Amino acid sequence: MSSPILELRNLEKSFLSYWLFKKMPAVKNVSFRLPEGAAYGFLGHNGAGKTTTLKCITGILKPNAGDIFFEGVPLSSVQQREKIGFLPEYPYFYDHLSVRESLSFFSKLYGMRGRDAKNRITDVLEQVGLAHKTDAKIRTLSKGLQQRLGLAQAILNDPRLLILDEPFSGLDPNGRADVRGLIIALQNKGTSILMSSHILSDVEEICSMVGIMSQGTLVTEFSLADAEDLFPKRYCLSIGAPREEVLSVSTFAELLSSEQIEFEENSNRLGLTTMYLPDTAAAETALRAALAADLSVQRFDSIGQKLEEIYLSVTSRESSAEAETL
Amino acid sequence: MKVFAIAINTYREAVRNRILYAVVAFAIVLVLLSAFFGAVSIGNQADVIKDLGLFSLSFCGAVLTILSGVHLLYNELAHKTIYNILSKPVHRWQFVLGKQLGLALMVGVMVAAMGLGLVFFVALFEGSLDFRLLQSVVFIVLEMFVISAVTIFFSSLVVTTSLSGVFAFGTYLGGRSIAYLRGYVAQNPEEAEGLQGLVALFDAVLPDLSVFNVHDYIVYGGSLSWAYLGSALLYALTYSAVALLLASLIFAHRELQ
Repeated sequence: MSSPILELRNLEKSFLSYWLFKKMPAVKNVSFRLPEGAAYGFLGHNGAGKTTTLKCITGILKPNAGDIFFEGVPLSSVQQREKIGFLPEYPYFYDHLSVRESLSFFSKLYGMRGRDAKNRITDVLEQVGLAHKTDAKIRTLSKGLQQRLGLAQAILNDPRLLILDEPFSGLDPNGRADVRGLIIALQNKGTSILMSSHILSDVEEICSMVGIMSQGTLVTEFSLADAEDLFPKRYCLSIGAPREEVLSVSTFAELLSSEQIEFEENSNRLGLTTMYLPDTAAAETALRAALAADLSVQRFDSIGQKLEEIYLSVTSRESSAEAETL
Repeated sequence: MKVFAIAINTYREAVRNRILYAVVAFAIVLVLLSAFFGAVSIGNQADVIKDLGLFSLSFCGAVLTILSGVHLLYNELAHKTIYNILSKPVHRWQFVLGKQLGLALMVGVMVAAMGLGLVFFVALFEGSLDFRLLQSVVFIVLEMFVISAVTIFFSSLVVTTSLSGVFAFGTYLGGRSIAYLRGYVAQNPEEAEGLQGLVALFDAVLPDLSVFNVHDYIVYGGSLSWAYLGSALLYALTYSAVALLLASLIFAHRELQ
C-alpha cells in the first residue's frame, strides 16, 4: 500500500453545550489512513460526525485531541493547506461577485497572481462546466451551478488532497454525472480524494475505500475490493407489521432465536421489520416460519456486496447496539 | 496580499450595505439642518455649519462603522462564507486584519466624501472653499479606524450583533467622554473621590477619542501641527493594533460550528 497522504490518529472533537453545561462529543477516537492517490468515501447518517471530522482536517475546527498528519507530517501549518482543496457541504459565496471575481478572490488567498491566476481560473471554469457563466453574478446561479463553483474553488490550487463534503447535494442527475466524472478524472490524475456522501452508488463508483461513521466513531472501514470477503452474501426477509401484528413479529423473532437461527433485526417507523440471515438454510427456515405464522412477507431475497446493503447492515447493527446500551 | 484581498472584498461587500446609505442620508440631513441652526443662532453662520457639520460627520461615521462592523464577522459566520476562506492557507489574524482594513477603507471613503461635500456646502455661505476642514476630516478618519478596531474586537468576542454593537457604541461614548471625566475628577477631587478609581480604569482601557476631536481648533481658526497629527496617528495605530491583536487571539480560538 502506498504511503498515506492523510492520516488521522485518535481524533476527538466535542462541543460545549451551553444549555446542558457539558461537552457533547461529536467525534470520538477516529483514526484512518488515506493512501496517496486513493479515494476514500466517508459514510454515515446525519450527525454521525463526518462533517466535523472534515472540518477538523481543513482547520475550520480545532480538535480536542488526536493528531492529523498530511504527507507524513503533522498538519499544523496554514501553508500546508496550499495543497488541500475543500468543498464545504453548502458552499456559500459572496453573491454580489461574479463567478470570475469570486475565483479571482480565492486565487489571491492561495497566493496566485497575474496571468497564472487568470489562466488557472479559465482552466478550472472549463473543467467544471462554468465557462459560459464567467461573468454571471453568483446570486443568479442555480444551486447546481453554485455547487460547481464550489468545486471550482476547491480545485483552483490543483490540490494533492481534495476534501468534498456532500459534493452531489443539490445536483440534478446530469449535474451529478458531470461532477462524478470530474472527481474521477481528478483521481485518475493522482489527486487523493476524501469525500462524504449519502449517495452510495456514487461513492461506490468513485471510491476504493470506505469508512462508516456512527455516533461520532468510525465503526468500520474497508476496501471495496475486499467487501465480498468481509461482508458475505446474506438473505433478507422483510415482514410487514401492522399494529396488531407487532406481537406476532416479536414472537416470530423469539421463535427464530429458540431454533438457534442467527439473525439481525432492523425495524423501521413504518412497521416494516427486516431480518438479515446468514445462510440459505437459516433463510429458508425463517421464511417457512414466517408464512406458517401468517405474517405478511414483503421481501425475501439474497443481498450481495452492494455498498448500500453493507451500509444499512452496519448502521442497523450500530443502532441496535446503541438501543441496547440505553 | 491575502490581507488586501480580504480587505478589498470586505470593502466591496460593505458599500453594498443599505445601512450605509441610510446613515449617509442622515448625515446630509444633519448638515443641511446646520444651516438652519446657523441662521437662528448667535455668531457666524458658517462657523456653526462647520461645527455641526463636523460633529455630524464624526457621529454618523461612528454609527456607520459600528453598524457595518458588527455585521462583518457575524455575516461571515451566519452565511458560512468563512469556511471557503479559512480552509485556504489563510491565518485567522489575516482574516481579522483584512476585515478591519476593508471596513476602515469603506468608512474612510465615505467620511472623506462627506467631508468634501461639507467644504462645498460651507462655501455656499462663506463664498470661498475652506480646505482646512479636511484636516478635521483626517482626524475623524483616524477616530473611525479606532472605532472599527474596537467593533471588530467585540464582534470576535460576543456572538450577537446587538450585544457587540452596544459594547462598541458604549466604548465610543466612553472614549468621547473620558477627557471630560478626567478633567472633572482633577478639578473636583473631593466631590469625585469615589469616582477616581473608576475614571482611572476607564482612562486605562477606553480609547481617548478627544485626541481626534479637533473641530474647535479648526472651526475657530486654530492650526494643528504635523507633530500633533503624527502623535494622533501613532495613538490610533497603537490602540487599534492592541484591539486587533486581542480580536485575533480570541478569534483564533473561536469555534466555527
